Amino acid sequence: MRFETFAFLPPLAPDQLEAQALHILKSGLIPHIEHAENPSSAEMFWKLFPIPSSRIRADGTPEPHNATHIANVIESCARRHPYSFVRLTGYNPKTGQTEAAFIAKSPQEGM
Amino acid sequence: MSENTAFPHLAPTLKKLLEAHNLTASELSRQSGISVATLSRMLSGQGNPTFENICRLAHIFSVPLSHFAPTTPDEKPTQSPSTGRDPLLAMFEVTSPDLTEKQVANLMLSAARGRSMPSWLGAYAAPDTPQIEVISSTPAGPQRFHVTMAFPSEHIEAGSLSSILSMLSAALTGTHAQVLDVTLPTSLLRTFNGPAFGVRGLRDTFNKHGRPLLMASLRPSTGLSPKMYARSAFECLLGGLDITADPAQLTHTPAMPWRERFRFLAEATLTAGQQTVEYKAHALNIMAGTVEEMQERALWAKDLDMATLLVDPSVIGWSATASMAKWARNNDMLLVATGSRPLFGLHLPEHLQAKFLRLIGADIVSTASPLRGNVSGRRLVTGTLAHLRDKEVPANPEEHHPLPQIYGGLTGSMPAPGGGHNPWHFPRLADAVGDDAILQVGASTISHPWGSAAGATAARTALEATIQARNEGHTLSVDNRTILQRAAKFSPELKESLRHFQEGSFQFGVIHGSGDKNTPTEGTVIPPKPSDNVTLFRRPEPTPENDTE
Repeated sequence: MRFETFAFLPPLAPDQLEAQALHILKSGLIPHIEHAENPSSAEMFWKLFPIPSSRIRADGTPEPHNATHIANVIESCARRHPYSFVRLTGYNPKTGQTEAAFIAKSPQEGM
Repeated sequence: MSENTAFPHLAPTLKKLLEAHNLTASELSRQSGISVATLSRMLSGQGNPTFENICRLAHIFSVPLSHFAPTTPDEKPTQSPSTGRDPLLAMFEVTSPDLTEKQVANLMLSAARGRSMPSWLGAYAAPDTPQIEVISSTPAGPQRFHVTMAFPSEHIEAGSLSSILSMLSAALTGTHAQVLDVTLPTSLLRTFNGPAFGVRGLRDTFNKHGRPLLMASLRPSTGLSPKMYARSAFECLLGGLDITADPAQLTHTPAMPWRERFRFLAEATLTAGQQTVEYKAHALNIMAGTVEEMQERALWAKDLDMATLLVDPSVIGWSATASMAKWARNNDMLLVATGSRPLFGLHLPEHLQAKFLRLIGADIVSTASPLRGNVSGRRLVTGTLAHLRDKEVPANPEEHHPLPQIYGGLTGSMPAPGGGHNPWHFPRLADAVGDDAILQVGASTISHPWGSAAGATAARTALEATIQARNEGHTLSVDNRTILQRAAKFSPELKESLRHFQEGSFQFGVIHGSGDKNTPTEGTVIPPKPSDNVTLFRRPEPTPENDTE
């Protein structure tokens, strides 16, 4: 199953995954973790896996995400849904475009 | 005493000034030192006043000398030229060995107004009609002038490109001028729809994010059966390309009937989509002799669930392209405007063609490659990309668009830079065009020694490795070789592609639209290494579409 960006590359190593997550955060994109069992091109909307804030500050605002945290959530999403593809996307609210989308975990890799 | 012919307006003007300043002729005589007799001759409109006396009068009343100058109904110095509220601005380049700036401006003005001879109807025209005016005329080099003119929006039809072009074409007639740039006021710009999808809409529809898309124009364009031709599209799509496109020359022949071509290509696209689980598209060439015929083919394509139509605007013309863009918008399809557009090349610079195609709503517009040609040509491509995608393009004479343009909320077109790219170019190419583009890689895909599918895989792998490295923080223009060679370690297709195609060589294609034919081309085009393998498809020969030189 070769689809989405980075489909033609070897599976991303943990540090590579973290580097991509870091790029999403540094570009000001809003990260989404999505998962689906039998994705197809017609299926645009995958189920969202929430990224909880790592910490709430004293003034009530959530602390911004960091790449390690996102990589951990992807890991837990993959553990929760072992037969699903897990996708990381980045949405740019300024342009309304999803400017990053790639498969972070595929079921063949195992847990 | 002879009638005062040189200054017919002197007497009434002088009388008005005397009244305004509450002066009598004798007081004026005392102040100015002009004799009463001379003054009375002036006031009765007789005789020829001396230059000295006119100067004295101008000094007394503190008005410019031209206040007393003879006027004709055509030029009224007291009334400032009116070009309406929001004029369209156009800059022309005029080459003339013996004219001054002023004369060049007058030449352009009379040509644009279409009134090079005085006519009795001049007096009948409404006096407050906004007029075409010359805003500036400046020398731009030996025997060259840049003339900027304002065309009143009141004379331009809403949403009609032909109306704008006819204005420009009048100014070009008989003046040997070239259009350099055109700026539409926002009020006029908003009468155009622009692309139905826009860059964002196209990406969301195709469900492809975070990387440039890959497109191949299929070759050869003659000699294959429809089924075999569709197989070549299938191979490209299966290998990893996103879009395949018909070449512009492929219309309808007994050996390749369009209905059969469409049917097999629909099958190829569908199968490739099912097998790869990705969204795949093929741009069907619908060009035909009449717009009605094109619409019939487009309708057929729609019935086959195809998403994309292809036309060459220089072949079918602006209005036919606009018609098809409107048709595509109404039928939820995409329009690809392709071709090197050599038929426009002489009179419309490439960024202007891009701007017009964006206005009339072409979703994908092919451009020159930012890697090819000389520095000037590459800057031109940068400007072209900006005109296709950006919300606002500042004036930049170095990029050959000397006037600014605000696009406001107009959706953008997806640029498709083309011209024989192979995987060696991808890092620099992705660096130059960014994510929102469709890279045309037909040449290296189809002439890959292992066939189109392997060529497509090589292209896709090289592109994704490039994007991954860029996101990780590598500088693409520096690390380009390392990135590709590292990716070639796990991709035999890419390894073979990098071996087969030489770094820095271009398969074929064009350095089109460099604008200035006299500028020598600095870039070297290294011919590709001859392959010792038998290729599945014949390497394409230069065709008029991809070789304008």
